[in-house]
Amino acid sequence: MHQSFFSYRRYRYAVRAGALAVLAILAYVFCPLREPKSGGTWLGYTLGTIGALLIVYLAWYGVRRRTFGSGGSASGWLSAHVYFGFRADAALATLHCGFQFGWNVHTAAYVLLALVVLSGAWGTYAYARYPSLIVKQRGNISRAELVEEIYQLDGRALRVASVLPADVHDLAGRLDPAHAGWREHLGDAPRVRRIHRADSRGRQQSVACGCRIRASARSSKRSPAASPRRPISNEIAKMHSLLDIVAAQSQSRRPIAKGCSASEPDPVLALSSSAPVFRAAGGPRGPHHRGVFLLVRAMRFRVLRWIRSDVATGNKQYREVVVQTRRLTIGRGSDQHLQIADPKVFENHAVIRPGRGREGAVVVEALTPSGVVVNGRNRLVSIAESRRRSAHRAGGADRRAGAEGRAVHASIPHGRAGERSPRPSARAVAQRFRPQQTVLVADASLGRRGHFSSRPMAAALYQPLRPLLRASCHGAE
Amino acid sequence: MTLARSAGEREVIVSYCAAGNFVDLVGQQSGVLARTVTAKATVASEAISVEYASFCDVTAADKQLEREMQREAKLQLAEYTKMQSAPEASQLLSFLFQHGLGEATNVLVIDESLCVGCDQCEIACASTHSGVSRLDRKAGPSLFSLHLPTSCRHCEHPHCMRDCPPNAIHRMPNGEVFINNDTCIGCANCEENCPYGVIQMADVDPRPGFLKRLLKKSTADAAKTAVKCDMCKDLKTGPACVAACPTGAAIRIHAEDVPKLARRRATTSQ
Repeated sequence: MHQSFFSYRRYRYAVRAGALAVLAILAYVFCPLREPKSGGTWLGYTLGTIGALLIVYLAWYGVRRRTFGSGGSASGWLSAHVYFGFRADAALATLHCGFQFGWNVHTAAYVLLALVVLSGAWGTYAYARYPSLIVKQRGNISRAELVEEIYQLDGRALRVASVLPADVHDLAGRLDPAHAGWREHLGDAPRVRRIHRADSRGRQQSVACGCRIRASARSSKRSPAASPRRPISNEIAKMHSLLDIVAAQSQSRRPIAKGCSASEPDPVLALSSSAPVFRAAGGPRGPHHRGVFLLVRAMRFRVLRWIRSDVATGNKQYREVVVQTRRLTIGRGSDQHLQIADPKVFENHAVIRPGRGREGAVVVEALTPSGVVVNGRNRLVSIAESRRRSAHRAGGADRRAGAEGRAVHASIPHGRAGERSPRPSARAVAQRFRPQQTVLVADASLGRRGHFSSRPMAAALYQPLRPLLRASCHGAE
Repeated sequence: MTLARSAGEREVIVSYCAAGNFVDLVGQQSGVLARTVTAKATVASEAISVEYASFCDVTAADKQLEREMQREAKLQLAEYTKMQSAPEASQLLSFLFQHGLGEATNVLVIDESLCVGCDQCEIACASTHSGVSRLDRKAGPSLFSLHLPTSCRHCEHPHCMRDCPPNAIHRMPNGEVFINNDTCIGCANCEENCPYGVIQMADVDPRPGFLKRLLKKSTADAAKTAVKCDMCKDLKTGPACVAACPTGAAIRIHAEDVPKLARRRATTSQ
């Protein structure tokens, strides 16, 4: 049957290492030495030699680990490594030095040995603790099933988020400019700025990631029921019910930013308070979501963040689009990841792929003859470029600008929002008919107050928001 | 052979009998009408019908046999009670038998609550078998933190041996099933016949020597042969995967030990 390396052969090495340590202590205590028991005496040399030999023996475990087909059980070697290292060698080294510490090379060597022993203690803890923790958290779901479930959950979350009205995203974006949405869900509540509105029932409400949730003032505290060590299947079930609530809300099409009054009870509040699963879990802000979100997040290659800034107030609004493929394709064709039902858009319009290093993401023009159109303009420009152009009032070719960007950003200069590009000439079309031509990168120095204005490109990707976008473009004109 | 008792709509496995053991002596001792368990063969078995009265005559004539049977019946009764009191054990047992442990003579079982995922088992297997690992640690099902990686069960009646044209699959006296790669013609019949997917077609010499590389003898063109776990029959230390496991998570067990393992696991997981 299975036997941990701790209890290898009925704690054989625990007993032997303990005996060696006890022998060394007895020798030290009862040794009839007149002089101080330092490392220079015969006792010190004896203990030091045994300790040094023991270090060689402990280090030999590394050799044994890489030797297969001979040399006994690795489990036994590890058991000996752990017990002799932690019990015997620590005791021998301490007794060898005779507790004489000072600012010298001997003490430095002792400290280094102590560090090695402590690192071993941490390793032992990790070996003993984490496998059983993982098993507990995973429940009886296999790893492959778990990954599949999380992917399904993730896909569903994206589908639900894509039909939520824009003001939900806007509101979510205002919560925390640095980490909109995520931090809110990761349970870092005290450090996250939330929109607090005392409603007639005296409760605080917060909106995050398109989910309207009810949170009492105490909800940021970790509730004992919502332990992160619960099986992840429970968390997944809770996430699904959270999405049920959000989906139900999106069906109601109620503008979320307007709040609720006492006379008109909020449907989401009613729904969430009637969902026992949320009450039991302490609301959807509990730390139990942390595991799922971290897992989901780790599996994504990148979160593209779309930003727009309000000219008047300088408020930045964020919108995150999660890309689960290495390449995200945009176009009118049915095989595109993001489809735009606009006859002006080419079948295979553009490709977004992750950038290199700190470069956030890159939009690559696909085989579209009319160029990539963003917010009615037929080119993608960087923010730095747009600023320069706005300063010089001169047009320029698309180009790469700065590699320190963090976000993909589609930007246009002041006062020209929604301008429509003229129909390109045949020559222009021919010039533009080159694959992988235009590269867009972003700028890290975003969002100085009132310096630029832009429209969210992400909004254009969602069909339900299309009329809204058009209206705002025309309004700007 | 598994013995199951129906409890409502579900079936609870109460015992497992390996070859060479008595089956349901509890029912036999109590008479024909008292039989409450159903026996199911986990491997192809032969059944011989004997009249109850004449069987009783035989046992009555041999006092030693009768005593032995009574002692065995007592043990079996205790086992039935133990198994029924732990429904998880029954669940685990049926899971294990479903994945071929009933016919296994030697199967690798990993305790996930001890496994740190270092893959030393696979590395050890590959380094002792020409660089091709014969087990896949991550693959395979798991229940109650017991994981059955894709590795040969060394079945009592090996499915792979059924249709081997050059007769390249052999058995050792201890039950290890191994493939002789010198005579294997690479027809992949065994790979298809194995219900547990543990046989793979591979190059047994994937790391060509200096001279071979110099003469540009591509090993990719060489015919692949069937490889699978051979229980490290040529190693004195036994299976390299078990010897290389630093945490004691990997063990190899016989089908007879499966009920004990299931019972222990069920009690520790509660």
